[in-house]
Amino acid sequence: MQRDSIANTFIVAIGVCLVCSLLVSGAAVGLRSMQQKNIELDMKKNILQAAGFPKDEINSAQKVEDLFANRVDPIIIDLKTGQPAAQQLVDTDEELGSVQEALTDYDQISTAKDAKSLDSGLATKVPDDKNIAGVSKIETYSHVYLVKDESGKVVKYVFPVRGKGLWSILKGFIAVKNDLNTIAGLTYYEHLETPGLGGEVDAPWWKQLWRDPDNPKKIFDSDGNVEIHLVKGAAEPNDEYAVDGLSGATITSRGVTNMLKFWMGPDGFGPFIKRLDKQEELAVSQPTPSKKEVD
Amino acid sequence: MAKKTSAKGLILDPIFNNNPIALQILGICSALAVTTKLDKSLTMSVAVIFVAAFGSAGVALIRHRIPSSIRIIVQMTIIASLVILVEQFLKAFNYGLSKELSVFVGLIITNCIIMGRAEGFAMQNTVRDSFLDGIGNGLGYSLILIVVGAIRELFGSGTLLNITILPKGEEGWYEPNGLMLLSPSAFFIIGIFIWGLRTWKTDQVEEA
Repeated sequence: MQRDSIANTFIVAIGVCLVCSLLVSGAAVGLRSMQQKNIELDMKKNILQAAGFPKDEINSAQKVEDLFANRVDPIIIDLKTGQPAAQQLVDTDEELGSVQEALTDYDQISTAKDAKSLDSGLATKVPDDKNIAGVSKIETYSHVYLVKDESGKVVKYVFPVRGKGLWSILKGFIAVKNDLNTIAGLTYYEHLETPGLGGEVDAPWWKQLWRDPDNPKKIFDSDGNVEIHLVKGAAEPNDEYAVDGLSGATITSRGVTNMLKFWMGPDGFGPFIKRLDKQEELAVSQPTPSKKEVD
Repeated sequence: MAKKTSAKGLILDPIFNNNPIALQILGICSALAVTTKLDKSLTMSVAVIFVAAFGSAGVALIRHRIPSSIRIIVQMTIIASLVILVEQFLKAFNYGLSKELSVFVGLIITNCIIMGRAEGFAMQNTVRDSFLDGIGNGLGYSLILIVVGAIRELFGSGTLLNITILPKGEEGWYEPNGLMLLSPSAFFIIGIFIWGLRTWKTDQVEEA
């Protein structure tokens, strides 16, 4: 057959595509379970990072697992009421068999995206005028991670947050100290912002701004409104509600501000934070099936 | 181009005599982006060697059948598949590093060195020669990446492969050079490298 004939062109094109697609899909399927494990480990690492554990305490898989098991209590709450609601989640979501499974395997982001979850009550629509974070559907139940000090007292709360930046939904964690106002850290584990510009949201220097002990940042003003925001350029050093924006990344910076306003506000974790604020005892009242039972 | 060369020549030639970055000035963009740390440089090097070698071999294998009208897209498909393969492996075995390298592993697809070798060499040569040529050019690229990565990490962070060499901070004495962590420093280092290389091998000097 002639090399440049139309028939040969098609044969070569189809042949190359077939072989290449087999190769690529083979690798993707074969390696998926390992990648999944890595992603889970990375989430835990980000939770610990947001909570302010130093880098050398979380630099191996074993250390991350140990630290997470000993110092972090995952709970599930109902976002609307702010009450712990692991059992309700298990009752509503057919895919989850037990509370323990819900605590480790419940994926709130894909649940919110799932078309069926609106009917089953696992998610609700966010009205357009409130949808500042670019999250059109919000899950009913969310993870919250309680971080304990060595004596077992809850010292920080880590909340999952997400919202639209320029190119993508940024997914991350914000850690709040147990005064429920001072930010202890902010990390992003997944985003597709421009490297070097918006992508700096996960750069160490920027994350440091959120946990600077000399210049702590606060979320709520005295009336309980979410005041934390990013500013263009450098923030005033004594302004505890403003953080330096990312230069060259106006839209990503705005996205970060909006997602914090949304998730810390009444449609996000507001009810949970209010409820805790009222309780004098900060320890969570509901006995969560902690990791201790598993050990 | 089609002259018979020994295996040794195919591998060693692109390292000093015909270095893709230093002589042909190809693949500069990724050389700036991934060389802030030595571990990133090393991973990128292995990835590029793998893609260059197997990409060239793959193209050479079907070079007599590829119709000239779609030859670039066929080369591209082969190279892109290999790059995705590398990306998947990296995500499975070193997730942290794959996140740090972010888009740059994917951008190997557009690395001019790999396309250049597939189109300029593998289309006319045997599978074995193309494979060795791919390794050689990958090594040539790696040499620059590793040199630049080592210098930038040592002077920019005071470490090599994340092990502290020049102690900094409160108990140390070394003040890291922030410029080394920014892209322009790679330009300077590559420039000095090319200067050194051309002083040593004067036949590489271009006529003014």
